[in-house]
Amino acid sequence: MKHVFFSYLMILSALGCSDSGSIDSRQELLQYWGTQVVLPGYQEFETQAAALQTAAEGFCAEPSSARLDGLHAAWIAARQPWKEMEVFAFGPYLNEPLRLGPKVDFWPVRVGDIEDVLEDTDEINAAVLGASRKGFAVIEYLIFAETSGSGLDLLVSKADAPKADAPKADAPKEDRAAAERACRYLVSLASDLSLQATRMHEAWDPDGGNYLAELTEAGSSSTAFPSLQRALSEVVNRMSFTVENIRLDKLGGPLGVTTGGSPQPDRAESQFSGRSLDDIRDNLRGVERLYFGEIESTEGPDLTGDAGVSGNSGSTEAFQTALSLERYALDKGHSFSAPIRKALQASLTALDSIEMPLTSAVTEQPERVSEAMGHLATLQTVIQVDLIGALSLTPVFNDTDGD
Amino acid sequence: MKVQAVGRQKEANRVGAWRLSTTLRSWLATSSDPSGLAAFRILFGAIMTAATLRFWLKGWIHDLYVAPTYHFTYLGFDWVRPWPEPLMYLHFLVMGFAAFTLMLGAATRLSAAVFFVGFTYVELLEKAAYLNHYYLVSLLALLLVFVPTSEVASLESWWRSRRRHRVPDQVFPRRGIHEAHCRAEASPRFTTRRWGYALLRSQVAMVYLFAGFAKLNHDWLFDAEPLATWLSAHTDLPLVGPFMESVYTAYAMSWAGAIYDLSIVFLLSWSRTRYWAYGVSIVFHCLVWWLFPIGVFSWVMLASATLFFDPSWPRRVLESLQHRLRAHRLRALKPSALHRSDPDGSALVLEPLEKQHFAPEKTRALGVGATLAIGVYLLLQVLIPMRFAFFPGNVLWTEQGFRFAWRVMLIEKTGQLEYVVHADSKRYRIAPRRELSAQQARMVATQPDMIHQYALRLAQRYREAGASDVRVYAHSWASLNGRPHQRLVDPSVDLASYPRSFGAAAWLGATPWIVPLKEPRLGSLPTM
Repeated sequence: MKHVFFSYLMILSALGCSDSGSIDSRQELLQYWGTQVVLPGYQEFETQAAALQTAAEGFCAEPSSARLDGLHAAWIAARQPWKEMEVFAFGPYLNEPLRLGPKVDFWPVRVGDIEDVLEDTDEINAAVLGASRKGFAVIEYLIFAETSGSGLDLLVSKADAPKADAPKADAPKEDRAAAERACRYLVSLASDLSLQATRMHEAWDPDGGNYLAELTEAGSSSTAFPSLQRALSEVVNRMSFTVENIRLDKLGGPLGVTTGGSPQPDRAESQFSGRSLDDIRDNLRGVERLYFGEIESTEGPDLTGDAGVSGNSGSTEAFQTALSLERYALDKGHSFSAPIRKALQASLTALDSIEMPLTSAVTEQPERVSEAMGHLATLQTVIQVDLIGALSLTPVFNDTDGD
Repeated sequence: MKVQAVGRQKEANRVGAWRLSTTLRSWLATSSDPSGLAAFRILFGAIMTAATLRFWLKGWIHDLYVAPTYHFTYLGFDWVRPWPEPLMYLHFLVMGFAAFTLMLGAATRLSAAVFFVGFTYVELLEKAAYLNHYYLVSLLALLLVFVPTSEVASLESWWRSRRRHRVPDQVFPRRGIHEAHCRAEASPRFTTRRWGYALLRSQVAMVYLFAGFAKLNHDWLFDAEPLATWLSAHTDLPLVGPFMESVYTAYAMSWAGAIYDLSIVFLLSWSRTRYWAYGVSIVFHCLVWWLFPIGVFSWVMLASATLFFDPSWPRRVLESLQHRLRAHRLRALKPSALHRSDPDGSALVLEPLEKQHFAPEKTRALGVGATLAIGVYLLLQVLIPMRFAFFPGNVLWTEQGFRFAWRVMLIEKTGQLEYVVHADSKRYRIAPRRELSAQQARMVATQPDMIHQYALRLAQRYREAGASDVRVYAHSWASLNGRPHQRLVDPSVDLASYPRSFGAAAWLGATPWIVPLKEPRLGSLPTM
């Protein structure tokens, strides 16, 4: 009897260990996302945030409209990688003690809070300010002064004014002082943003906080995720949350669908720069990249047989599907590529059809905003209901017996 | 003549029924060894003590009962509300202590009653936390209030024994190898009646049988769902991981699970297959525990399965152990240590323990009232799981009659839910997962009665805010066992216009807001 038992055990071990050299496909996928998406993404954000700091310091040292344009460009350049990474809004982004998300990107902007800081006379130190008084949205408010009316443009108009017009360009002394304080505020904010960007990158970096290992070592040394399934579940559920946030907060909030139907443009993200819709496109690019894989190159092989959907319908970009959620789902016997691609494409097309900044569109083209929300709802349903259900990625919070 | 014949027939029927009833009542009152019940009490109390502690340590008291600002209550139990936070923890402390004293057999019935009330109160607080095995725990605790389980192996019996039959020390002039034997002879002969076993066994049998019958559906048998989906998430397990992705494994486990549930009661009841069947049970429940986050369910069922053993099984196990221990001691003893009157040490292995403590007694038939109470209880336990038959549609989709019916591990359901509230002239789109706990949000998205319940909550909120004309529509999508998503609730129905009541809408199938399930499973590729 013992011989039979041990023989059985040996056969089981042989069968079970026959594939022992290979890595679990979920771990492989998580590792890929970590090393090829998260780390490069936050590295890029760190670089662009440092460039924004340099631009802010340069502008305040010597204000000019050219430098202001450069500052706008630097803000947008830093914004793009950050919004693409929003789909990874967990771990250091959300959890204490770092909780970097709100420190970097608290929105919608609270103008009253900013004005309080500007009107104050204390030394400005962004490191100790609350989330509503720093980060991307506050910097946007200050530098896109022509729309926000922050007063920073006074410095530009003064610097750019021809000498003959100098008396005209001279603003009242107190306004100049206010503009200079706004500039000091800006420099402090840009410096803090750069610091937070570095912290975010370091938090994920294997040589730093190594949150990456929480994902890739799920089920073994990870404290955040007791299994690879839970780690994968976290990422995929974030895809669904990202789409829901776009629908209900980024589009629905300004459109007023969550607040009784009256448009509220001041609830828009990036409302002073007019970048609201581009923020959404960046978010969707992050979602798209997780599902279909990294956009490899314009000459890359089209392994899916379909064209990409990253915004330009005529693009020759192809997707590397070797490591993607799409490939993982296919390996499990499920294909959601067509409905996800269709919904993504329809959403982007609907966003493209909005011909003006979102803050205006919610009053002048509300039907187009609603249409985009509808397509995004379909995308959310496919991810949240079909994909998560088929891959058994429903988060489990406590005991269950399958009911 | 005809009238007389009918009268005689009626009388004969009455007599027959009475005899049958008497036979049944006598059978229920037959003397039985109480040690099987005592073992169950100890196991159940120990598991519940550990489960309460585990619940506390995992932070679930806070997550499930303290943090949420809204609770999904059961119909008719809206008045059950959570204590303030410190009292909630105190509640669990008392509950855990009651489970512990139940295990020890101290104030056994009171302990069972306190545990039953405490546990059931907690379960009634939050529908989103419903689990079949929590319901089973409540029922078993309730039965332990009435079933005598403290006759042996309890602090109560030890105390009774000391008080009533205390044998003075002088009876034993010398402490020697005869002492234990003589004390055992002097102790009272404990017994219990069969009805306790019958009641508990019937309860456990119903769990297995209803769970088995519930598995006889197309998804489980012919699509191996939801096991195929669940097992494919376990490819990283040592040894068995590579097999988890195979659909053959899912089919094998699905069919084996159904066969197990439908047959295990009979296999455990028959002495020839009992030990083999219990071995299978251990493998089955350990596997389930290993693969799925099923908590203490496996251990509760393994403890419950012992009820089907011969009631004297604990004595036999102890006897066997004691024989071995004594034989071992005997071998270790030097001949000079043996008592003069027992030179071969035979007193060490004398009488079987069951004879020392248990002897069948003649008993009176169980009372009519008690027999009726048992009958009504068991009838309810049959009818409650079968109430789903009153509702139209697939019970796995509508979940009408799904709870309290032992439908275990049958569905992988995901959902997405939003409401549109029309309050006077304004419209509000509301995502409940932003207002509810993660657990509640997950459950409400897939369960029609909870969708309705939260719609009423939203209507109430807007009415309290001053709106006079409030309508609530749900936009709900769900997927069942791998099917493509479809609407779960009709978005054109104002859910706020249907009251939550025991009336026709809730109980006679008139639930117009539930969209029937489209049966085919599409969109999946075959996997081997």
